[in-house]
Amino acid sequence: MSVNKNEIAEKLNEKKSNEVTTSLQDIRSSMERILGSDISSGDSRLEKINKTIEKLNAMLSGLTDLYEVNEGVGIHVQELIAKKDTLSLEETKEYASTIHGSLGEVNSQLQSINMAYDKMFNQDKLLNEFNIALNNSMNVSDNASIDSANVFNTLNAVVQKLGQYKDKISKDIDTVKTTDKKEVVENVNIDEIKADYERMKNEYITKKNSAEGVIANNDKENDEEINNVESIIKEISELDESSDPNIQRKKEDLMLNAQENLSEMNNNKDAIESYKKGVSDSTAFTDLCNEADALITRLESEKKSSLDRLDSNITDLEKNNMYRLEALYKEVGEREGEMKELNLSSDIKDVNEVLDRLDAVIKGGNIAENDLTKLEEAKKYADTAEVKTNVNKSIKAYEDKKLDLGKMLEEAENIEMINGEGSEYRKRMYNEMTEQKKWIGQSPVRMNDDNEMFSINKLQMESLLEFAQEKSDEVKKMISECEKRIKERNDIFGDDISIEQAIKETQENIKNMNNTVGETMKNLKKSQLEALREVNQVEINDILLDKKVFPAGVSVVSADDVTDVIDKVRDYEGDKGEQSAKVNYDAQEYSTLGLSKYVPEQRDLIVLLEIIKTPGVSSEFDKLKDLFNPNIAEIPLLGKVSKAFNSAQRPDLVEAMNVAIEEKKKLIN
Amino acid sequence: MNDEKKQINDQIEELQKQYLDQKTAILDLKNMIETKKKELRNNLNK
Repeated sequence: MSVNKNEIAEKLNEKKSNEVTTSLQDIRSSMERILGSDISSGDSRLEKINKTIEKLNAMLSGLTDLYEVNEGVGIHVQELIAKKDTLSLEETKEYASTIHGSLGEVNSQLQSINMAYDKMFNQDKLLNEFNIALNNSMNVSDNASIDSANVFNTLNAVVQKLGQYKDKISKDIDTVKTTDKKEVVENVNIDEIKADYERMKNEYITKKNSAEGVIANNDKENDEEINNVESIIKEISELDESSDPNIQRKKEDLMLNAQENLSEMNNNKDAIESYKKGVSDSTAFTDLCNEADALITRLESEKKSSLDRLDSNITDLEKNNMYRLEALYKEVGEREGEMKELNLSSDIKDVNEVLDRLDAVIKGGNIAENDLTKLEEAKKYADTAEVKTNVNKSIKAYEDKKLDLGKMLEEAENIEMINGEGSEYRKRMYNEMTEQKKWIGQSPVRMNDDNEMFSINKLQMESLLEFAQEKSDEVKKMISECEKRIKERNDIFGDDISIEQAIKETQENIKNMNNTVGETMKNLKKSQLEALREVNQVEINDILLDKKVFPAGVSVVSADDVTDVIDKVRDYEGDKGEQSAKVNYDAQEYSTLGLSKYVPEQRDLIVLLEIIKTPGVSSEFDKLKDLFNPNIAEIPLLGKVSKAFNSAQRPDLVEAMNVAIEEKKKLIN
Repeated sequence: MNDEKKQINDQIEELQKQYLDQKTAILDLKNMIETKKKELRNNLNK
C-alpha cells in the first residue's frame, strides 16, 4: 500500500486545526466566560447554587467536547498503530509527534477544568498542592542563595589565602633580615614561594569563572521560583470564599505564608546579586597580587644581602681553623692508607717466595731449572741484602708516617678553638670543628690494630731474613760448585760454555730425547722391553754413569750420549733394539740421574706407562713411589697417573696410587 | 535502525496509554461533576 506523504501531512494538519485546536479554543473561551462570573458574598443562597450549577454545566460541556477531541486523537493513535509498518520512519515520527502535541493540549485543558473544579469544591486539596509548591520554591530559592554564598566564599578563601601568603612572605623577609643562621636564610626557598603564588593565581581564575556561572544560574532559578510564587498568590487570591471556615483560614494562612516566602525570596535575590558583584570584582585580589609581587622581589634582595652579611661575619681565624682541620682530616686518611701499605705484609710475602725458591733449589740438589730466568732469580734471592734493604725502608717509612700522624694530632689539639660564644653560626662551626678534632683523635685507636700487625710482621720478617741468609749461603755454595763443574766440563770437551749454555744444552737434549722416546713407546712390545732391560741394564748404567758430568749440580747429557747407548743396544736387536734401548735408557736415566726433576710430568708418565706394560709390576711400585718427590711431583700429576692405571685396568695400581696421593698430601701439609 | 524502530514503537505505546488515561480522567471528572450537580440540586430542594 503506497502512502502519500503530503496527503498524510495535510490530513494531520486538518485534524489538528479542526478537531483539536479549534475545539479546545472553543472550550476554553466558553469555560472562561461562565467560570469567570464570580459568585459574590452578596448573592443569595439560591443565586449561589444556580451560579455554581451553571459553572458545573459549563465544565461538563467542556469535558464532553474534550472527550470528543480526545477520541479524535485516539483514532489517529489507532491509525498510526495500523500504518506504522508501512510508513517510513520519518513519517511515523512526524505523525507520532503531532499526536503527542494534540494529547498534550487535551491534557492541559483537562487540568484547567480539574483546577476549576478544585477551586470550587476541592480547595483543601488545592491549598495543599499550593503549600507543597510554595515550600519547594522556597527551598530552591534558599539553596540558590546558599550555593551562591558557598561559591563566593570559596573564591574569597583563595583571596584570603593569598593574603596569608603575603603575610608569610613579609615574615620571611623579617627572618632573613634578622637571623644569624646562614642555614635559615638558605632554607628560604624563593622558587617554591613563586610556584605557590602562581598556583594560587591560577586557582583564583578557575574558581572565579566557575563561580560566575554558578551564581548566574542560581539567580535565574530564583527568579523562576519568584514568578511561581507570585502566580500561586494570584491563584489563592482568586479562589471563591469557602463555606468551610477551616478551609477559609487555611487559605488565609497560606496566602500570608506565600507573601512571606516571596519576601524572603526577594531577599535571596538581593543576596545573590551581591555575591555576583563580589565575584566579578577582582580588585582585592589584584591588589594582593601587586603587593605579593613587590614582597617577593624584596625577599630575593634581602636574602642575597643577608647571605653576604652572614658570610662576612666569619673571621679569618675561624676560616683558617676550619680549612686546616679539613686538610688534617684528609691527611690523616691518607696517612692511614699509606701505613696500611707499609705494614710489611708484602715484604714478608716476597721473602717467603725467596725462601721457597732457595728451598726448592737446595732440596732438588740442582739449581738448574727448565727456565733460565729462575736461575737468575735464585741468584738474586741468594743475596738477601736487597730484600733486607727494602724491608728496612718499609719499617722506616712506617715509623715516619706514625710520627706524621702524631704531629697532626698535636696540631689539631693546638688549634685555638672558638669558645662557642657569639652567633649561632659560630657555635655551629665550633661544634663541627670539635667533631673533626674528635675524629682525628680517634685515629690512633683505629691504628692500634695496624700497629700490632706491624710489630708481629716485623718480628716475623727478622726471623725470615735470618733463615733466608742461611739458605742463601747454601745456594751460593751450590752455584760455586756448579761453576767449578762447568769449568771441569769445559776442560774435558775443550770448549768454553757458560753455566747458562750448559743448562740450555741439557734442556735441548732432554727435550729431543723425550720426543723420541714418546714416539718409540707407541711401537714397543712388552717382551722387547723385558728382554732389553735385562740385557742392557748394567751396560747402560755404566755408560750413563760415565757420561754424568755434573752429578750433584747441573746434568748435561749430549746427543752423543744418547747415540752411544743406542749403538750398544743395536748390537742385540737391530733397529727394534735401538728403540727399546732408548726407552730403557730413558727410564734408567730418569731414575738414576735425577733428570726427571727437570721434566717431571713427562718423566713420570713415561716411566709409569712402561711399568704398566711390564708383568709383575707390583714390585716396581715402591720404586715408583720413590720417584714422587714431594717437591717436584704434583697431586694433579698423580691423579693423571692414577687415571692411566685405571685405563690399563690395573685396579691394584690405582689403589696403590691413591695411597701415594694421600701420602703426598700429608707431605705437603 | 532497530533501536530507533523500537524507540518509536515504545513512543506509540506511550501515546496510546496517554490517550486512554486521559479518556478515563475525563469520564471520572464528568462523573464527579454530575454527582456534585445532583448534590447541589438536592440542597436546593431542601
